[in-house]
Amino acid sequence: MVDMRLTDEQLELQALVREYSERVLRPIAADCDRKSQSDPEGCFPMEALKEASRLGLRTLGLPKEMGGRDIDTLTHCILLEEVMAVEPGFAATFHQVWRLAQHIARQATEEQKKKFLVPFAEDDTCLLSIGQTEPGAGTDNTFPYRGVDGGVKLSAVKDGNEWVLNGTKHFVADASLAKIFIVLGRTDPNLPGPDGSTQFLMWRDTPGFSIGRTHDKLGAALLMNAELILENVRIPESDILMGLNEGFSDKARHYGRGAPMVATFGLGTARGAYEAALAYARDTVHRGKPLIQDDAIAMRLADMLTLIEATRSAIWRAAWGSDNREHFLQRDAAVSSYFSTVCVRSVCQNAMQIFGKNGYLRNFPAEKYMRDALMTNHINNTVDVRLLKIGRSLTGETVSPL
Amino acid sequence: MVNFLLTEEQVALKELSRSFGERQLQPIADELDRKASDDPASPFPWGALKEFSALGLKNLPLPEKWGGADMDVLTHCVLLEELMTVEAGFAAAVHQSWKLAGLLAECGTDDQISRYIGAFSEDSEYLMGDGTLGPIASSEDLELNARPEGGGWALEGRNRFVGCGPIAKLLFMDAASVSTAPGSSDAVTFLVSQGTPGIRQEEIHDKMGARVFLESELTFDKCRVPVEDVLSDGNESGAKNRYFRKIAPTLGAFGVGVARASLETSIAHCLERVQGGKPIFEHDVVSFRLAEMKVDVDVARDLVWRAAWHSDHPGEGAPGIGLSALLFASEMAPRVCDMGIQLFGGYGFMRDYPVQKYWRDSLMCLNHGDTHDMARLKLGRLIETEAI
Repeated sequence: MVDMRLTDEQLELQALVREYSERVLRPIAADCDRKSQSDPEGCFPMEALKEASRLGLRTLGLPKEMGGRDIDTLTHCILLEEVMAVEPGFAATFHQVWRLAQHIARQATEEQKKKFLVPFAEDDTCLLSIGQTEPGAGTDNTFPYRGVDGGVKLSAVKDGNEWVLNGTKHFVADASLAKIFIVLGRTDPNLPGPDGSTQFLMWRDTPGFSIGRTHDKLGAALLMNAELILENVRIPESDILMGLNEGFSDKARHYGRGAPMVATFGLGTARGAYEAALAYARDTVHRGKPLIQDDAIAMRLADMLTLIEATRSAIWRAAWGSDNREHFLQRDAAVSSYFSTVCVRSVCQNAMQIFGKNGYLRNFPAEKYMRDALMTNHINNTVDVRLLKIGRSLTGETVSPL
Repeated sequence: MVNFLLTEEQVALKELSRSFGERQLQPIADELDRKASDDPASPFPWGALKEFSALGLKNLPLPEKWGGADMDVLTHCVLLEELMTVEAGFAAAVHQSWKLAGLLAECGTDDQISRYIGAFSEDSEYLMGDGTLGPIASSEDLELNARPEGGGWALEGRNRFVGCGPIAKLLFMDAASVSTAPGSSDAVTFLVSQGTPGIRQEEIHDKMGARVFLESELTFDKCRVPVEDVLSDGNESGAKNRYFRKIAPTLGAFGVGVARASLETSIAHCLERVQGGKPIFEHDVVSFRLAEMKVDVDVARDLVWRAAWHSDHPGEGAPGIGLSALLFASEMAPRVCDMGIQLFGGYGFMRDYPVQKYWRDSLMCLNHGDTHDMARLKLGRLIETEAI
């Protein structure tokens, strides 16, 4: 039976995350963003992360016996929306750590859990990161391209009980700060990328493993994307996550069901921009009355709210599908992630309009939401790839994990 | 707990509506549309309505004691989408009867219910006619006035657009009562039987689309209505307005259904039509277009469902979501239907192909009782007052 009521646990966590975001992130968001211009690596608010850890927010993706909540996709989306509405970059960090902790917890051996997840749970500043994209391998991994000449190039060669990894990754979310990494290496160059790639677990201090430059981005500064450089990094066979060549397999699909989560980037950012514009329209008096009493402003707000509600509806359906496999459709997931980019660009631009000239000024919040919004154009997939996947799926042809 | 699964009963009704539409309406939709071009009064498919009634579909919104199923807003949306995929005009006509029968069941006196719901439930050709303002329009627009006369009321004036005006057996007419202060939103809703002395049928409108849904102008000259047939005094917080706000998501289902029809027809065409040595479906630019249509339709449906759920569960927040569903789905439909025409190339302009009809029908969505800008403004005002 169709139901839109959140569970008590979802409501409880939503309130907790909302309170945290308003209290801890709201006051520092603009300053961190400004600082990132001169110091892309030093702008991260470590105290905010520690506070999140104290509240149990960093480890929500872990199973209950490890102190987490094992949150499902819908809960992930609901909580992520709350943080996104306040600080999209920091929110994206939560997204990474929630889904990666869950992915590792579900796929890791007992030995791997002891080696990686137990220390992760105990260290208040420990973040997780996954390196998939390479300078020459972006959409090849996600569409995916089936030729042996495409996909992951970072080489992984077996040597005794170890694998020797060489190559580079870039755009890797949270790489500047993360302590534990999953790195995708090409373990069989004679197979197409999706069939010949493997996920390796490694600590940041593994010899030969280093972090390159932190990317200097338009927005979402607190999601610290960076390069990974691997030079003769030796990883024991036992640190392969899932099986050999299963980096993009069905087992990795759980991780691939994240499209509604990614769609929430757009939803939450749009909501933040809408709320800022609404407050501005209420508080700003123009020609003797609050801006919101102007018909044109009220109608613009109506359009913004409508897009937000539409996006939230699509995300909830897609997330429900992700959580109930028998009803899962890749296409629903892609629909939500495509539409959220349409929503967030439109809503953020409308917010800037409501702020008038102030919308363009950095001491008002609208322009930052607009910049942050543009990260949604390429997260996981480019907008065009999402569209192509939807288009191609309309005959029932299956598509790969998104 | 969030769930998007319809109940078995809802699925069964949806299938029943779909098979009914495919059997009874699909084969005649184009012919009816053409006939109406020559004679706007001609095309209502009475045979289909009888079958619709025989299947128990017409009485769904009625209480069980009258042979209905107390249909909720969500089910209404699901079924309306199915009917809209086959014949927009027929769908609009039965939607209107569902809506008004539901209104009567919710707001009517016991006496009104037993007289009119009783007749409606037993007569397979009984339609309700709509001269009400709906959830958006303002009573300042009323051109029909009511003044007290001899213990009852007398209606004077006109209503330009009465849905099913020529064929309905019971008319729901909003009129401004003469005692109403200027600028006040009060309107009184009257139940007026077709054929009551003083009602005159003016022209039946010759419309761009949804032609099976006959709309006409009615003028009223000393048309007397007894007090027992006053349905609602219609003030803004009254039961009637609450009811119309509640069913606002159903107006979104119009857009979802007609846009889906255009999308499905377009997919079939693109798989069949070969250019450049392969079905045009395989050209990326066509994929993009189909995908955008699919996204629009699916997102609109999700929004309509969520809004409908909120209507069925009042008190759970989201006060503006019904208007959002109406706005988004109604503006989405012409956008999607326009893309459908483009995918057909020159064929899209030919009346032999149904995409042009879907496009014409879809533009009906831009005028559910009032213009879209009024709906948008109403939502904007709601944002201001309700702190959404």
